[in-house]
Amino acid sequence: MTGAGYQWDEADRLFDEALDLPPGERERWLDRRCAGRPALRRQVESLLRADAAATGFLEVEGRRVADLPAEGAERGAAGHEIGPYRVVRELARGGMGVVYLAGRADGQPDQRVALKLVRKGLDSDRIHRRFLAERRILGRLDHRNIARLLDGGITDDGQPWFAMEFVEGSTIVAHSDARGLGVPDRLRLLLEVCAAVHYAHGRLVIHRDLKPGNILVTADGRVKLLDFGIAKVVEGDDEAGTQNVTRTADRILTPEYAAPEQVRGEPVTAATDVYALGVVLYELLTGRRAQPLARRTPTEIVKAVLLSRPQPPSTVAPGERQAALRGELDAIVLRALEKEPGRRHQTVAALADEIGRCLDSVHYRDNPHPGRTS
Amino acid sequence: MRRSGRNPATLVLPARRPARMFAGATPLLSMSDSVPTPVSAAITEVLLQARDGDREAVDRLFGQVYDELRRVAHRALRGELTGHTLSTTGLVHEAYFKLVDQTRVEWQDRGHFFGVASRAMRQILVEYARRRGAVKRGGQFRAVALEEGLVPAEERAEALLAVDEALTRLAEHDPAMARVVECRFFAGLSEEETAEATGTSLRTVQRQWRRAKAWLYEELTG
Repeated sequence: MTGAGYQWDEADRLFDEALDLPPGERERWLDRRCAGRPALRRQVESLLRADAAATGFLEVEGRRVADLPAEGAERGAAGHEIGPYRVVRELARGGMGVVYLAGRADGQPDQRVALKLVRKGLDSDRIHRRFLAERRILGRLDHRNIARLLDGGITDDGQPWFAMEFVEGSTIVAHSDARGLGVPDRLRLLLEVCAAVHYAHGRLVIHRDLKPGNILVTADGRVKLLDFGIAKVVEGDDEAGTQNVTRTADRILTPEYAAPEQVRGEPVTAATDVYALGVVLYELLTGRRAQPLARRTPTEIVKAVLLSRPQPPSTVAPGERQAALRGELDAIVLRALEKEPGRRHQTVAALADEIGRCLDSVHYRDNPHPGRTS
Repeated sequence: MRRSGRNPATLVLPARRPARMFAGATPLLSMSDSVPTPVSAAITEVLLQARDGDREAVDRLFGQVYDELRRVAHRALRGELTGHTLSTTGLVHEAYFKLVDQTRVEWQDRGHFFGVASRAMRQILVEYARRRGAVKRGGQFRAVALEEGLVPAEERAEALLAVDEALTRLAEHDPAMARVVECRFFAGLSEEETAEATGTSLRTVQRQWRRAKAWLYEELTG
């Protein structure tokens, strides 16, 4: 349900239409509109149930002042300075912290950066030490599809920050949906992602937190990967030597995209990024998460990531795409998503090769847009 | 101030309070503040530039509105010591009358200001909730935590963060729907004001709000 994509759009559209019908007629209407699409139907029905239950939900006359900030305690609010940068506005928030749009405070206003302020409460000393250790390696990543790491440091009160090349674009999934891209075009985008990840692996940098939110496509169609290697600095996988799976799961930055070995607290390798690429590809092709999480609790994460097997993409994708996915692509995606790292494609290049062969196959040449939705 | 925020006595909010009026309290800012001042002249200028799509101006506008909202909030909080509460709806309206020279702007600019103010209000509330040490603990989300009343501030803060996160996800699918929630929920704007702020019709706003609520409800309680 949280997965980006046209499945969501479709469910939302049907939900919107159903609202105009008298409740008594909805059942028969759904029979007709969702024929052969039980997953879609469940989604629309649960939205309709939520609509009935949500009367009064979120309906407050404004938030109360008691929920407002105390004086002078914000960091990173507009105008505040972090390192040599001055914050312009907030761009995004995530599990790791807040990302601001910022400019140089020393009067080079043109240079805009994405400034990531790491969430308080993470072990900032350790993060800082790791950052210093990683900085040189990350700074050397120089690839047209990878957003550059420019700078980093620690604020006076101990919050680590990173400055990165500012990229304006939408996530790979949102971009593909907005343009109604068919399966071949989606595969081509993913191949660009693979090329960038492969480049970084050649320089011994693993991304560790690949997900649609970290893979943007700019207005002129260029793929850009964000946050390369940052997860290693922030996450801290090996230090505590913890054997406690649920504790490790609790610390994973983005559990929906985490590989089983990350959840188990085991060493991360190139195969970890292969897995994440599989999750991204799954979502790109089907509009659904490979491992949907009902809740982000440790037990739920362990259950979903370690135990449950994803459905073949062709069985959950919208009808018009199923034929294109059945067979080869199903096999490629499921192999990338193997629980055991050794059973996945051994390198990103191997994954890319298979996808490339799929693209070349006669099937697509004869029928260039089998999955086009619009 | 944090301590006073935890005091149960301050948790009660009058059910519905008319915008721009603070029953029983001296207005924090009198309406005479709306006569042009250097500040309002400057920000009115920025608002007019922002209307023309000047990105720099949009950024500057956000910064100034954000700062002003925080300032007004602090003044309100000092008033709270005498037992009066105030809503974000009131703050946004006060900021508007304080910052914008009414004689120079058109109604579209007012909408634009409300849109920016709603975004700023969301950020202020979320930053505060985070500083309260609220973390998402998972487990059953209590819809009641979002409602006013005798709910501990920590739990409310947690609920606020949950909505914020879900809203960020919603924005990936449908940014327009997310903006409506920003206006309605975080800034407490009315449906009419939200239509102004988003530049759409009242009917569209009502439908988007209904769809967004159902989605968020399912996302947060399902």
